[in-house]
Amino acid sequence: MQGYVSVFPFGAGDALIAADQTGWVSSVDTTTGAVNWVRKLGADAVQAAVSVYLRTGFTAAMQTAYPGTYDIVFAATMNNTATGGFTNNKVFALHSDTGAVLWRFNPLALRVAPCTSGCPMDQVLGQPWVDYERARLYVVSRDGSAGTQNGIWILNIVAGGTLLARFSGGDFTTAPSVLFDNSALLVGDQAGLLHVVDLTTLTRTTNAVASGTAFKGFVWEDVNDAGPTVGRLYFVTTDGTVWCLPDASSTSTCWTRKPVATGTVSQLLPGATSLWAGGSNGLLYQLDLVSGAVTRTLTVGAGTLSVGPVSTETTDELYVGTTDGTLYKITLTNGSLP
Amino acid sequence: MSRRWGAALALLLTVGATPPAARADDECVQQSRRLRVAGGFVEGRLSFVGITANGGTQVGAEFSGTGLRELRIVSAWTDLEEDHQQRVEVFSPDGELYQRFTGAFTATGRPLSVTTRLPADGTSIVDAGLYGAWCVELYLDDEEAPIARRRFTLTAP
Repeated sequence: MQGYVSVFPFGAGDALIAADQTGWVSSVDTTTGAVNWVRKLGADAVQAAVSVYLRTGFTAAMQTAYPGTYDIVFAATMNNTATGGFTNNKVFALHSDTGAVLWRFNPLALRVAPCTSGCPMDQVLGQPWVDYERARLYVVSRDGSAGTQNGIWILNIVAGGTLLARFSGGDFTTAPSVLFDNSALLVGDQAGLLHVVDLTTLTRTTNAVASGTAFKGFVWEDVNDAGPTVGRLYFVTTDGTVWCLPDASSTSTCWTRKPVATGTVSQLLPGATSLWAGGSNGLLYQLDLVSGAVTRTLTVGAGTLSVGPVSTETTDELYVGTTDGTLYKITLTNGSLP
Repeated sequence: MSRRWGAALALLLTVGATPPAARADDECVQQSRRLRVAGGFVEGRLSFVGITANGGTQVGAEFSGTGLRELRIVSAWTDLEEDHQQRVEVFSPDGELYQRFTGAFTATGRPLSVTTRLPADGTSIVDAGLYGAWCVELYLDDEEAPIARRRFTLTAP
C-alpha cells in the first residue's frame, strides 16, 4: 500500500477500506480485525484512497437507483504504464457490504459523446470526491504521456457512472476538494496551476498564482464561522512553500511562507486560528492564519526524521507520523502547540 | 465537527512500521555478493529505471523528485535455478525502512530480471519530502545478508 486507508461506518461499527498496489480492495472490521471482504479489481494497482457514498446521504434519486442497504465504495486505478497504464485506467463502484462491482467507468471504451472514440484515462493518484448534493463523483488523473489527455472527470453516480464533463490541460497527482458552499471544485496540478470547476455550469478556469511548482496535497478552505480568514484557501507546493489565497480566483496571495529553508513541508492542516505543517527537518510548524507567521515549532521525536501530514480527531490534538513508523499525538493548548 | 475537521480524520499517514535494519555498508554500494547455493554460486545485481511524467525512462541512480511517476527496481539474477523468493528492502534517506517487497520467481539457469515498482508521485515520498540518498537491499530466499545493496538519489524540487 502506498496511499491512505479510509474508515467508514459499516453495520454496527466501522470498516477500514483500503486498496493496494496489486489491485485488491479490502474491507476490515476496525474492532476485530476480521476481513469483511476482499475484491480483486481488473487493475494493476490502486494508489488513491477509496471514497464512500454513505446511504444516509443518498438523494431520492440515489435511493431509487440503488435500492438496498449497502453504501457505495469508489476505487480508481493506477495501472502499470508498461502495459497501457497511461490510457486504460478505470473507476469502480463497489457494494460496501460485499465488494461486488456495481459498475465500472471505463472511458477508453466509451463510444458516446463527448468520447465517441473513447477518452483515455491516465493513472489516478488522488482520492475521488463524492458530491452528496449532486450525486456526482469527481475524479482527477494524470494527463497521459503527451500531456494532452483529460485530467478532470465528473461522473453522474445516479446514472451508473456516466460522464457529465471532462477537462484537459492539467496533470494531477493530488486529490480534488470542493468549496464549503459546494460551488466549485478545486485541484492543483503539477505545473502549479489551480483548476477551478464551477459545479453549476461545469466550466473550468485556472489560476496561475502558484505557477511553476507542483501542488502537494489538496487545497483547504478556511471554513471558520467568522473572522478575517473565512473563505481563504491554503495549500502547499512541493518546494515547501505554504500558500494563502483570498479566494480561488485571486491572482495575489494573502501570504506565502517557506518554513523550512532548505527542505519541504508535508500536507498541512488548518485550525481555527493556526495551521500546522510537518517539516522535512523534524519540526512541526504552526503558522498564524492571518499573517502566515510561524508562531510556534515543536520538535517531533528526536527531530531527525521527516514529519508527515497532520491530522486530528477532536481538534484538541494533532496526530503526525514520522518516517520510522512512529505516530505522535500532540495535545493542543487553546488551539496552539505546547 | 466541521466538514474540514471531519475530512482530516481520513488523513492518516501510512508509513512502514518495521524497525530499521542494521547495515554495515553505510555507502550502500555493494553490488552482488557471490552467494553459494546448491550447485554453485549465484549473483544478484540491482539497477534502477525512473518513469517520468510523460512516460520517458531514465536509467541510472539519480532522479529528479519532480514528476517521477515511479522507480522500477530491477533485480538481475544469474546462475539461479528453480523456485525462489526475493526480498527488496527500500530505505529512505533518513535510514528508515520505507517499504519491503517480497515476491516469488522461477529461474531456469539463464539470466533473469525481476522488476519491482516503487510509486513516487502521489505517495509519502513526495508528501514527506523524502529527497536524498536512498538505499535498496536485495535478498535471496531466507538469506540474512543482502546479496546486493545499491544507492539511488532523489533530488528535491
